[in-house]
Amino acid sequence: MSEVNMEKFAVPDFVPERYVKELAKSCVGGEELQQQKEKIQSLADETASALKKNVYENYMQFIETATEISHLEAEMYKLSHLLSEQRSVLTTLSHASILGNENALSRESLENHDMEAERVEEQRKNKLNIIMEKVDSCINLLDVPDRNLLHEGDLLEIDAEENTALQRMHVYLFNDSVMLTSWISNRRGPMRYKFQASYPISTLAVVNVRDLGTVKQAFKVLAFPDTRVFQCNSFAIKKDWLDKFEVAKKMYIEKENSKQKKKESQEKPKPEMLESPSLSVEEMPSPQVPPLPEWLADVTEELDVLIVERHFQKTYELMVTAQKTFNTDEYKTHPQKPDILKKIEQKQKVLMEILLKELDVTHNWSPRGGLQSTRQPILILNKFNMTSQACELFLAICSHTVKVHVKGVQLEGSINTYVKQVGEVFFCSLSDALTEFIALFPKNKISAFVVWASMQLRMLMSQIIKQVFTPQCALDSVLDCVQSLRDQCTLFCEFGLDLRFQLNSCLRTPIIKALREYKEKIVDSMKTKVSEDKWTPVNMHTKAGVNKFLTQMESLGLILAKYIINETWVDLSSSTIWFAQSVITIQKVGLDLVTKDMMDVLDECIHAIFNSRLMLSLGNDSSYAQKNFKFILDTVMPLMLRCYKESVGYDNEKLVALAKKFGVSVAPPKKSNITKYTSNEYL
Amino acid sequence: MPRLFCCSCLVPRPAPGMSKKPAAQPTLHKVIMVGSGGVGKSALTLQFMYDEFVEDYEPTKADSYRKKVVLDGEEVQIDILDTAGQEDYAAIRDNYFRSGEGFLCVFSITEPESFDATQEFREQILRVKNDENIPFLLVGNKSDLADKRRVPLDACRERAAHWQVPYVETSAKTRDNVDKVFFDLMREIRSRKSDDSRATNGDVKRKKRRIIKCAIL
Repeated sequence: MSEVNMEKFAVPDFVPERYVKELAKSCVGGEELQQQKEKIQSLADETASALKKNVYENYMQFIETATEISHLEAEMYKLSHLLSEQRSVLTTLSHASILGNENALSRESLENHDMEAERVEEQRKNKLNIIMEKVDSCINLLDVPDRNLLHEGDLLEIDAEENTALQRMHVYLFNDSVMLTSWISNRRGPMRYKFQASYPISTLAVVNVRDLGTVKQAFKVLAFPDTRVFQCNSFAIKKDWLDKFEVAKKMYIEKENSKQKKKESQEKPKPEMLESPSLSVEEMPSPQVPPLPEWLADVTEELDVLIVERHFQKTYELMVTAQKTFNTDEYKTHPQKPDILKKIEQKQKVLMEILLKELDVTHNWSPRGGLQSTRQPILILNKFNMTSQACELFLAICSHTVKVHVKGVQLEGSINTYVKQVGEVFFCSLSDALTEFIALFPKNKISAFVVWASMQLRMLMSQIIKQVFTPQCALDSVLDCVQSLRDQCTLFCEFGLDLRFQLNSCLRTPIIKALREYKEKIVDSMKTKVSEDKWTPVNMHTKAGVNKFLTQMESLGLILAKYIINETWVDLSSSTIWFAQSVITIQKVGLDLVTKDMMDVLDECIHAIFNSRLMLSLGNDSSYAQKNFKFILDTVMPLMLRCYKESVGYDNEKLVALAKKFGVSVAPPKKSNITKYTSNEYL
Repeated sequence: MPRLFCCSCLVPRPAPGMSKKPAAQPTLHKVIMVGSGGVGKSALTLQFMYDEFVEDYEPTKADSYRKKVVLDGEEVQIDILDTAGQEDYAAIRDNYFRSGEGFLCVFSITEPESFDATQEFREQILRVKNDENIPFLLVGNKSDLADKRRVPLDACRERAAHWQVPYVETSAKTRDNVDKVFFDLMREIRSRKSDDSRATNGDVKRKKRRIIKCAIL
């Protein structure tokens, strides 16, 4: 008989028919064939399960990789954004420094609108840079000194001869030229358009197309030898374009005219023009004032560099030292002092803006750096008296991290393990946030954290409650979840923040609702169970079954060894057993689940269940039913009363009253715990 | 599968040198209206296009119109670029003129200044197109206002003769000669185009050119 193994199937020229033939040949009799078949079957099962496992593992790996890649992508985008920002800052800086050298002599006269102009200039450059980022193989837009974007928009290009649509275009109108770009259909990254052509305004003629057959709302751009026709989506858009072209044209004409005038005027009064700046240079130097030390004179430039290089701490320090130095007697009356101080103030604003942006969770904030990455900006903001804003942003970040962490927990397996994990993750995040918070913020801000933490807890609880308190979820697994959350919360108390009250207050309503629903369920099914009961002992069939039953009841506190008859029979009816289990469970679980303020609900539930059971027994006269009734009154009732008292420390008044009504003598609790075990063991 | 190949064969291929496909639009003649502000360039255009006379005057910036017409039994398209009379910057005007194949140089017979201005327009067009024989019509508009006439007919004819271009008097209001000026100009453009295409095909052009030049001389 040939051995069944994988290798045989794995050979490349495996032919099933031949294999089966061989197998049939070598086997003697049907039984052997059967055996072979079983072996092959088991092999197939094994392979299938291995395959499944592999698929699952690959799938998980795939998901992980995918999330990792998307994280990386986000990081890359952030980086490229940062880089482009820095590039624009650098270009403005390089430009500013060239101007700075030129202006150094006559700075005083220019200072006021210099700043304003610089700001406008920066904006202009940023705008153009952004355009250049969007347009593939774009021309250098910054090469013309005062190029400005007047208008841009999407247009449909029409074939000038055929009147048919050609392509989607994105057109930029600058004050000196128009740039045509086409849409990139399968775009990747920041490039959206592809550069096509650029025409200087001076060579352009724009024609309003009044009538072009079916083509409506079109205009023509004549740029010899090209004629390009564009269609707009609406009349308003077309009018806008035509007006903007008009503006561009006017600006161009004005510029030409002024150039002409300049040329004319420059030719004559040149000598005078040269005189005036030389005069101001001579006026400027003031020998009685000591010159500023170099670092102080260049402080604004240095600050710029530090900000760009993201040395925020150093930036702050330099600002403070510069301000302090200006307050010393030596420089108190220095003529450049107000100017530089003003500039420092501006840089301070810039710095704060950047820092706030750093902390803004909605602005590309990546959880990868962790909460520690917020330290530096927050500490500096604190020094600028911006604690409140920083605190707000920090807590927003914390909310974000908590959310991300909680989301990271996967709902696998039972709800209990999920809730346990979520609880762990949540309270860990809270404790991280708390330690960081205490390190970063002054004591008087801690209240903000407390408010935030309880809000977070409430948000988490509202989610968990939705998942846990469902009709499908058994009472004891609810208890498990609640218990694990309570444990976590108690552990968290060690960090100095007790959130147990908030936790319990969140749980109060759903717990009460769950108890009442459970009660209703038991009362309802009890009615059918009692009425359908055959009032005979229950057969457990095997000895093991009996043992299992006894241990189960034992765990509820009932020792039923003496009710076993004929080895496998339990001398109680099925409804009685079920009732005992249910009612004891609800008391046992309920006692752990509720807090003191909900005791009355629990009491009420237990009482209602017991009462309705006892009422059902009253009408039944069969002797076996009466025997079961006696068991309930004499065994179950006292047990429950005893357990209740043991756990809470006082009697369940309602149940006691019920017991008295049915003539049960409420005996003081007996110490029978020890005997339980012995009886169990010998069984 | 073979059907697919067939289909791909049917896709029209852009053939170099063959500007017209079987289903292409008829030949396009590009006409430009020039002249001072208020002489009736837009009125002529609108009358030609839509048989309407627009009484209100609103200065034009630069409007274009396109229409299919039958020129001597052949369907053609006319593209009219109605330019601004008040364009304040000559350099910008150049850009419009470059795209034109023929020009209707319009003045008002009631306004001597507009007649004077035609001289300037003529010079500019010749400069931009760099062509003495560009299709060109001198058009005296507002012929319905004969009682307000201030530009003598002789002066108009003399100037046209001097430029060697036709002179036509029109009325955008009564539609008198409106179609004539556009069609005459299109005929000139058409003959110019056929000359040019023949010239590119062989040395026929040389002869013709010489003949024309002789005629001018």
